[in-house]
Amino acid sequence: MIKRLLWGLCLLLTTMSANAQTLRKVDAAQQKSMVEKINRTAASIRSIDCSFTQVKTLQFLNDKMTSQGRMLFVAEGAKLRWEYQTPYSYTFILNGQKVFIHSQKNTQTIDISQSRLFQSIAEVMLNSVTGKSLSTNADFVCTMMTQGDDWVADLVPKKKELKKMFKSIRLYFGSKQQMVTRVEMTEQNGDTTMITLKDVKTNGRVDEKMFAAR
Amino acid sequence: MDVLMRRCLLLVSFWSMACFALAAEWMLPLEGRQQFLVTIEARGAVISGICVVKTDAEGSRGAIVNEFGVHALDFTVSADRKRVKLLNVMPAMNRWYIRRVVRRDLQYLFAASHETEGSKGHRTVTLDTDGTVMLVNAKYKLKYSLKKIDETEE
Repeated sequence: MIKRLLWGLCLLLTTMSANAQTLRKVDAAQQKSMVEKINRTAASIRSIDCSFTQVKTLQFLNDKMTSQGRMLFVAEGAKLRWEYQTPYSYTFILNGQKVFIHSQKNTQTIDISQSRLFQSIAEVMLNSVTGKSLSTNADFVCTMMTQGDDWVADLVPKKKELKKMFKSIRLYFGSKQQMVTRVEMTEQNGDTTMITLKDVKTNGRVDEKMFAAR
Repeated sequence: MDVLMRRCLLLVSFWSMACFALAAEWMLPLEGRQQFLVTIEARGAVISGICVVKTDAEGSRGAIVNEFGVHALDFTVSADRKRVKLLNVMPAMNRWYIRRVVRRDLQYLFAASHETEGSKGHRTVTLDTDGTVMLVNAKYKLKYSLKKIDETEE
């Protein structure tokens, strides 16, 4: 009897943990409701200040590369600062139509209206942070799913420039906060990049100088 | 005769040891797992990223990705560092003439030792005081620089 109970318990626990990991597609009505909630939250966000960890999985080397940094976002004017601090120093600043890139030896300014590629990169970064890409279907085919307590938006690029780079981009949202907590990018060769946002502070004051060219 | 033979053998072994030590003084260390900051300058444009190399008895395998993690290319380097093969090259670079130049430049770069520092043909390799290894390909106006990322920075 005890043995049977133990087996039953084991089976229950296994099923529960499998459910927590399994991605489940939601129906159209659920998808609409989830996207609406995410958009409502995104509209209420004026700024985000957080740290992030990026783990890149290199299939060819069977290896992982980890980097860490800080991200700042201001909704007004769609400004973004994406800064890698370890193990290398690299800053990507998006301010209106300009992108400033600071690496260890170089500083570059790019006019994104002149570069389709940078337009695409800027769109992906902004959309990934806010979750706006879920309703702007010109760029992606969006399928909503659930994974345990998380909501997952599976985005398949439509544009040629993005298709060359990514097979899919998955945004993970905490179902309570309805904000992006993780971004998983899968490239055409199968390599993946997982970005996890931590210590997220919303709607605080962000210094404008952080978005200026140095 | 025996003494002469012994001295000769001793000299040969010292000479081979010295040769081995010199040959092992590569500008770019590839042993175990290494990470480098990479910059490629081509006619005014600058591409930067990270190069990861893993080495075993058969040779080295590496990958170059940009800072955001987007893959640019994979490569292999033979154990004697004389041959480089490019694999899975990103679409923007995947032209035979680009692949050929980049492959030969990387081959020259990985095979560069302290002994071969300087120019050979249109290629010049130098070692900066901060440890950056730089290769200039004057014919195609290309400049590569690789700097080892210290583990302590992680």
